[in-house]
Amino acid sequence: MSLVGTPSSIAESPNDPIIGWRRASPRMLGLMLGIMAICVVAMMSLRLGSLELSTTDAWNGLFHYSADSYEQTVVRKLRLPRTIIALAVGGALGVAGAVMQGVTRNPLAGPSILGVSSGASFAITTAIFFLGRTAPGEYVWFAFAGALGASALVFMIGGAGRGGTTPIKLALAGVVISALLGAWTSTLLLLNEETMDAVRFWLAGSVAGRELDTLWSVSPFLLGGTLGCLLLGHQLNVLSMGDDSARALGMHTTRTRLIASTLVVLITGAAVSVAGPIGFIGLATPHIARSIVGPDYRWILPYSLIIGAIVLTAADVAGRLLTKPAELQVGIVTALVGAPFLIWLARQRSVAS
Amino acid sequence: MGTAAGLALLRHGVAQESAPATPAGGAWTFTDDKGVTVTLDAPPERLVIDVNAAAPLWDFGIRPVAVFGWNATETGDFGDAGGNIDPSTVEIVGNTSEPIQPEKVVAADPDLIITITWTPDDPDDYWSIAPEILPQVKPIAPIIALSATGSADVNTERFAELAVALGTDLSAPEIVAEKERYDAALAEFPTVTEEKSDLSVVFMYIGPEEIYVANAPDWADLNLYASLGLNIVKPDAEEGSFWEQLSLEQALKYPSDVLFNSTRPGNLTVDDLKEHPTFGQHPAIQAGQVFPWNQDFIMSYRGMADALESIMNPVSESTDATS
Repeated sequence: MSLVGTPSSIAESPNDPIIGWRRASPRMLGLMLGIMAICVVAMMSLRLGSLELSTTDAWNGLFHYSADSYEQTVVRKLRLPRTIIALAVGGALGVAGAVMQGVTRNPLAGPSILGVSSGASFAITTAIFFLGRTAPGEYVWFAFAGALGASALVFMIGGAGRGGTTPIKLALAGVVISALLGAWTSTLLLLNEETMDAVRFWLAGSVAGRELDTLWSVSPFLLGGTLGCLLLGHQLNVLSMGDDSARALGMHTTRTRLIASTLVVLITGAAVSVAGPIGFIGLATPHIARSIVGPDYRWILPYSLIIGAIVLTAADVAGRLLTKPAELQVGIVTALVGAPFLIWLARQRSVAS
Repeated sequence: MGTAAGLALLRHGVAQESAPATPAGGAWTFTDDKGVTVTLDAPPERLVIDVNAAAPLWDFGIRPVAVFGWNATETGDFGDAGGNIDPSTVEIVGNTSEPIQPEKVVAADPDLIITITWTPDDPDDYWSIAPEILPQVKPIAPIIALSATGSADVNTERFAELAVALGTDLSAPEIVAEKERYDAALAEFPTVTEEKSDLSVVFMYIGPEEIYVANAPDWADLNLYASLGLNIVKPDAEEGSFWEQLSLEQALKYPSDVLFNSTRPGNLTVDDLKEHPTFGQHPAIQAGQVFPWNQDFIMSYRGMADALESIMNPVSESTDATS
C-alpha cells in the first residue's frame, strides 16, 4: 500500500473499528494476556504443592472456606499467603531490575547493585545479634532501614569526587559496599551460633513461611514505588540514548537517576525485607521483556512487572514439586534456572540496553 | 609442622591396623569401634577429645587437656552436647568453623586423640576430622573412634570400657550412683511402654519451612527406645538417611499421640506449633502432648539415665489422642 494512497484509503476514518483493531498495539494485547497468565499461575500456585489436593479444594479454599477441611486450610493459610507474596515480590523485583538497567545502561544490572540486599541482610543480622530473636514482624523494619542506609552509602560514595554520579562509579560503589557488608554479616554469624540459626532461614530468600502482615506493612512503599517506576518509561528511553544526548534534550540526568534509584531502593528494600534476598528475577526479567516488546521502556516496565510476578510464582511452584514431599526454596530454583537461562539469552540475541 | 609431627611420632606409639601383637609388659592397648588397635608404651595421660566423646568420658571421670569439634565454640559454651565439661579447664583446639586445627593439636602435645564415628565400617571417616585434614592429624597421635550409631546402651558400655582403660575406677561412688539410676531407668522403661502400648510416638525437627521426621533405626537413642518397646512411627526414609524431609503442608502425614520436638535451635516453639495452620491440627499438639527431644544426649550412665527419663516420664502421663 503506497504512502500516497488512493482517495478511498485516505478517506478511511481512524475511528473505523476495523482499523482501530489493527492499530491496537499487539503489545497491549500482550499485556492483557500477561494479566490472564498471572491469574492462571496464581491458581496453579493454590492448586499444586507437596500435598495432593483437588481443584475443588483450591477453589473452595479461596472462595468458600471451611476450617474443617485440612486441604482448604493448607490452601488458604499456607499457599494463599505465599502466592500473594510471590506475585508482589516478583513483580516488584522485575520492575526494579528494569529501571536499574535503564538508569545504569548496563544490561547486567540488577536491583541489588545498590547494596539493598546486603544492607538488609546486615541490618537483620545485627538486630538479632544484639537484641536476640524478635518477632518476624519487627525484622521487616530493620531490613528496610538497612536497605535504605546501604543505598544511601552507595550513593554518597558513588557521587563523591569529580563528575558526580556516573553509572560506573555507582556500580563500583555498590560492589564495594556489598562486599563490606557481606563480610561484616559473615563475621557476626560466625561469632554467635544462635544468631546464625535464627538468621539463616531468612537469608536464604523464600516466600514460604513468611507472614502476610509483613507484606502489608511495606505495601505503601511497594505500591508507591512501583507506580512511580511505571511512569519513568519515557525518561529511561531518553537516558538510553546516552548522557550527552539526554542533556541536549533538556533532561537533568543526575536528578533523574537519583529519583529513579530512590524508587528502586524503596521497592527492592521492601521486597527484600519481606522475602529475603532472591536473585536473578531483577536481572533476567527485563531481558525477557525486551525480547518480547523491544527497547521501548514504556512497555518494558509494565511487562517486567507481569513477567517478574509470573516467574517468581512459577519458581515457587516448581520448588514445591521438584523434591516432593520436601520443598526447594524459591531462591534456589531461581538460581538453578536463572544462570543457564541468561547464558542462552545472551547467545540468542545481542543484548540491547 | 612436619618436624613437630615427626617428633610426636617418635615419642608416642604407633597405631597398628593389623591384628594386635602380644603387648609387652606395661604397654597400653585398646581396640576401637573401627577395629583399629592402638598400642602405647604407657597409659596415655594427655588426651585430646572431640566434644561428643569428651562429654560422656567426663562423666566417667576422664579429663582431657583439650577438646575439638563442631560443638567446641570459642565462647566456651558447648551447648547440650558439652554435658558437664568445664570449658575453663580445657584448651580448645578446634571449633565450629574449623572442627580440628592440627597446629593447635600439636601444641597440646597429646598421647591419644579420641572422637566418635557414625560409620564404623569406614576406615577413614572420623567425626570432626575431615578427610583432607586426616593426613595431618594421623602423625600427631593415634586416633581412637567410638561408635555413635547402633544402640545407645551398647555405646555407653563402650565408653565405660574406654574410661576404665584410661584409668577410671567404676566403683567410685558417683559412678555407682549414676549406674543405679541408669539401670533403674532401663528396667522401668519397658513397663511404661507396655502400659502405654497403644500410644504412637513420633520424633521430629519442625522448622519454619520444613519438617524432618526421624528414622528411628539410624539414631542410637531411638533404636534403644524402640527395642524397649516404644512405638515409634516409621517414616518413608531409607536406612542411613536419618530423616524424612517434608514440607509443612505434610504436617498430618504422621498423626501420633505424642510428638517429641528436637531441641536443636532454629525450629518452631510449642506456641508457634499450636497456632500453626497445619500443625495446629496435629493430634499430639491438640492434646498438648509435645515434649522436648534432646538430640545431643550424652552416652554415659548419667546422660542416658536423663535421656531415658525424659522420654519415659512424658509418655507415662500421655493419653490416646488419635482415636
